[in-house]
Amino acid sequence: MRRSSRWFPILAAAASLLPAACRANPSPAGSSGAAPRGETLELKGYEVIHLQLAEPLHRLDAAGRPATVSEAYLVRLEVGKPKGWDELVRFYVGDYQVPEYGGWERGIYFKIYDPGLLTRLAGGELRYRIGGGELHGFGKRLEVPPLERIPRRREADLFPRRPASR
Amino acid sequence: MAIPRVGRTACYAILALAGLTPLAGCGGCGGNHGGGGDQGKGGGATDGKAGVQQTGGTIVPTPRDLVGHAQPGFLSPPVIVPPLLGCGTAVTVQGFVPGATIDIVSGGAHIGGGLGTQPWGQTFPISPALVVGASVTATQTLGGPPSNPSDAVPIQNWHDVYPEGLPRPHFPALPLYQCGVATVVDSLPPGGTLRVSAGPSGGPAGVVGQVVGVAAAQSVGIGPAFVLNHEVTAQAQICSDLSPVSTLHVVQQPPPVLPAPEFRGLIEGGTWVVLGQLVNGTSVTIKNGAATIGGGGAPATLVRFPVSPALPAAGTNIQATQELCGVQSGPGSGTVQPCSNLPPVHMHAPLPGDTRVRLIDPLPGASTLIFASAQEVGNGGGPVVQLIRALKAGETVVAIQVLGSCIAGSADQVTVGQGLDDPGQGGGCAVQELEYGKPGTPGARTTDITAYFNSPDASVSTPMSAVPLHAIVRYPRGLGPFPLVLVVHGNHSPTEASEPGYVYLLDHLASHCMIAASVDENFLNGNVGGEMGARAIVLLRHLQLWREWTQTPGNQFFGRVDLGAIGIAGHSRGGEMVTVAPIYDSVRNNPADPAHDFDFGIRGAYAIAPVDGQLSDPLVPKEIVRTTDYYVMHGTHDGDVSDFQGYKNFDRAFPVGLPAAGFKGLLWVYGANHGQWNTVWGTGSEWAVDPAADRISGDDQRAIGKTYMTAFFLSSLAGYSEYNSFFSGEASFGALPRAVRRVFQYQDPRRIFLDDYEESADPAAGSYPGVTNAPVGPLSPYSRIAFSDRGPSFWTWEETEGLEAGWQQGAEVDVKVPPDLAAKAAGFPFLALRVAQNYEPSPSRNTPGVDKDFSVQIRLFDVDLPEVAVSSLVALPYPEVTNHPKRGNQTKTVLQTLRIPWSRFLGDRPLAELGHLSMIRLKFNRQQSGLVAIDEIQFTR
Repeated sequence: MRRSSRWFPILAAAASLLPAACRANPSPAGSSGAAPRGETLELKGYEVIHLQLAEPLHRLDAAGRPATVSEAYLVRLEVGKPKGWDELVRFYVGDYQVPEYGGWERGIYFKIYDPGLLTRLAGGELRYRIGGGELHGFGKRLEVPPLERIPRRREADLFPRRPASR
Repeated sequence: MAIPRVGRTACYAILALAGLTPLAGCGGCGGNHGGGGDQGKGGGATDGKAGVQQTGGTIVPTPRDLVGHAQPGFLSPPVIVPPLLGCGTAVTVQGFVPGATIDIVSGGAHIGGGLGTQPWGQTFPISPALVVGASVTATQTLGGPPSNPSDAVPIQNWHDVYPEGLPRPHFPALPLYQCGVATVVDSLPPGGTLRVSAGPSGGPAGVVGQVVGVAAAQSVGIGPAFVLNHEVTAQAQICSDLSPVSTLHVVQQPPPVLPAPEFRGLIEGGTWVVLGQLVNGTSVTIKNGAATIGGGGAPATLVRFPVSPALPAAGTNIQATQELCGVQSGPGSGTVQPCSNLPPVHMHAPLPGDTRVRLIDPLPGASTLIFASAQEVGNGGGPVVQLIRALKAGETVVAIQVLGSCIAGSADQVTVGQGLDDPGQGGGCAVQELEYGKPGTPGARTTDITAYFNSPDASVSTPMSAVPLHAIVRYPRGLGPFPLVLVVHGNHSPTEASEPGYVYLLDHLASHCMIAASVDENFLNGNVGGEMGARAIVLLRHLQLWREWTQTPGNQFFGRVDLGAIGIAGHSRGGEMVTVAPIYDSVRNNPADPAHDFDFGIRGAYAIAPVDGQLSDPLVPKEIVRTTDYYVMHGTHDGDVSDFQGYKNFDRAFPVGLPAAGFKGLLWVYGANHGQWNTVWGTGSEWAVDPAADRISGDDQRAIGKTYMTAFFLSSLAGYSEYNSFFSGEASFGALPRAVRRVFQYQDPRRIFLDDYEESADPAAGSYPGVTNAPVGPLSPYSRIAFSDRGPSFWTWEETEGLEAGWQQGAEVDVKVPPDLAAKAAGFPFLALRVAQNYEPSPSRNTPGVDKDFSVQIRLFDVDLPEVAVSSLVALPYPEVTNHPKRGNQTKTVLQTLRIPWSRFLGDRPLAELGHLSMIRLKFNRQQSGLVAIDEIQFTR
């Protein structure tokens, strides 16, 4: 699945060094910077994909104008999920809160429709918060290759779906 | 033989051709029961401190001896429907015996009246116009001396009644059809003038209907008839002031087929018939054989029509047809029933002190005799009968329906203060099943939600551009219209359908004569975030379906859904959604966009173990309930939403500084978990919270859930406001598991806060001008704090501010009441506050397992009246100490509403002495030590 895309594995050894890494690279305001107590999530890796949408999407652009988009950038995190379903896990890249995301077999994904936003997020620390709990860092920053080098995939191949009814 | 009254009859909103008024029993009815009367010792609903156990009503053979002792000529005073507005040219009267002569008086002069035929609310022209500052009374006369006069209703300036301006008229019966000759308009200033205008788009509009001297809701004849594609609006006027113009409606093509009218309530000798399945604007003809005995324009779907001559002998077949633009329905027929089939009329549960009895769905044209302790105390008609004296706790009240010379063979009997039917028991409606929109089935609809969410879980197979509008439905048999409740699940595995998990609720609500549907939003489930807005949009699009169905002749739900009585319930993420949807109903509403044509006016929202704060929408920075009644229910053993997030939404609902448009309540259930509210979820998808042995069974948890939810929607949607006495702790029911402890809060919309602790960090400063607080004796702490601790120091988990007070020996807090506030006290039956004993990880002032107690005392003049022990009213239990395997100590200090009837202080003193109230004292003198959280000291109903 990952062969045609760029994947950023996080070594098991690196994960164990997470607290030290966070101290070495001060986190944005709000990050605890310490190994979370209780429920925690582990980020095993992530990838960025240039996505050809299955169908054009009508949405508002950054200026609030109606726009139709046919492409997006998909960020997939290989990350666990807390037990229970209703408590929300919020994901962040730097101070940017991912506004919506969905699950896939090994974690969560989110889409970025604005290339400029993806560029701005590059280098931001990947973080999360479970419910009303503390903000935690995964100990990893979002690395984004030059946009033209991001591997392309078709959404229909990644997420095969069909209408519920005619 | 006496039989238990099984539930209640269906609640119908019936629209009559003329003289339409708001109707008791259904949406918008007022009544005098809300919040319960002063019942003396009531009691919290926590285990061991139950309120007055309710026995419900009983159907008994009509006591002929009582009827025989009815005084000839005795009549109740009629009831004038408020408000009365200056410049008004009509007064609406109800509660009289059909056939009585009504005399309306103001300033000692007769100003109007006439033959009373519509006791549910008849609007009489008056002259001269009403004058602000005066008041109006009415009497009824029927072959004897006149009744006593009604309660005087003051005439008000409309600016005082509608401080935000005259209401915008509204067409509740839509669509408007070509050739239509009648319709109905509501949200009108009573006594004003209504004009309905129509014309081609862009062209001149002419008045096609006008009524001078309207009721708040008014049927109106249309002439000339509506023309296809003409644009119709309505506007009201009072004095020289015009209301805003209504929403514009375009006249539609008439339906190709009209349903046959359906009859209800045909009893020999009756002078009215009720017809359902009518299409808005049709011309109706009612016949006995070849003779026309009634008819006219149908302003709505369910309409009362007078018939003349009166209905013939039992067994006669009566027929009705409706016609629109040359299309004629088939005949609907009904057989006239004998007098022996005249049904009993049911009462809303009367409370001590009530001076009126509200009746449920009385037969049009009938009157009702009311006896209390075998004394005839009322004889009137329609949905409200005025009594000649106040009812007393524990006395037996009997209501007997009478139609001409026919006396119903059975009657409704209740005990005052104990007359609520148990909402945890099945109701009286037969339940039918339906499932709509299942993917792949004929006619299944889908909707596009990509503008709100487009990142579904990978296991979801449907695209967000075409998600199913699919639900499981239970609905009552009958004409309706019935309230509609949509139930929505929360997040769970998308591969396991969640909506079947609430079928137990649907069955129960439907048995209580409500349409209930559990909505499938599984496609929004999974490892997802940011989908909260989409959850609300899907719900609103289901409501669009229901609106379409009830407005489409030929649909099985045509005319059967009361669009003025819509409620929603949701669990977990669905629980937050119930606070989002009413906001989206207005802020996302756009009549020009079919996908966003909402404006349903959702009336009640019930949250089951909800989350909070998951909506990310710049249009709605934070959900604040302002327009719907709100209830939240949560358990100590919730292993998913373990931090009781709905408490924050409860705190925000109806902000203390603003008038409240509804009531709110909260239930904290010891031992309840997250999943057992849903029979599919069970216990497996959350962490098990310790102590595991304290978790209650799923059956007990669901029994509590369906009892509270049913009571909530009966109150919020169906007009049974007396169920608020259950939420406030004055009433309790046998269906509740006795061993399960419950802590509750109730906030009535009618309240004056003395101390809400929102304004100042100084606990000495009251919220009401002139109120001051002073500690007496050693109190430590004694401080206003944010009740937002998610743990230490006070474990409050809220989103508000309050007072923390601790003592090691006798101490008190004195609340000084200024004279102008004291003058208002008697207008509110209760002194109330929220209070809890705090959890202490290392107990020092509170003792685990021991309920907290203290006293409350009031001072009149300079006299301290006897203290009232809190423990005599409610239990203040030590918090259930819970531990989450991953999140640690989750113990919560959840406050309990304490409501003290003034009578507990006053004893035999007259209520008027409250005008000299000078001090309220919270005296911590019943236990050596304590630490308590206190908030929202208030006068309330």
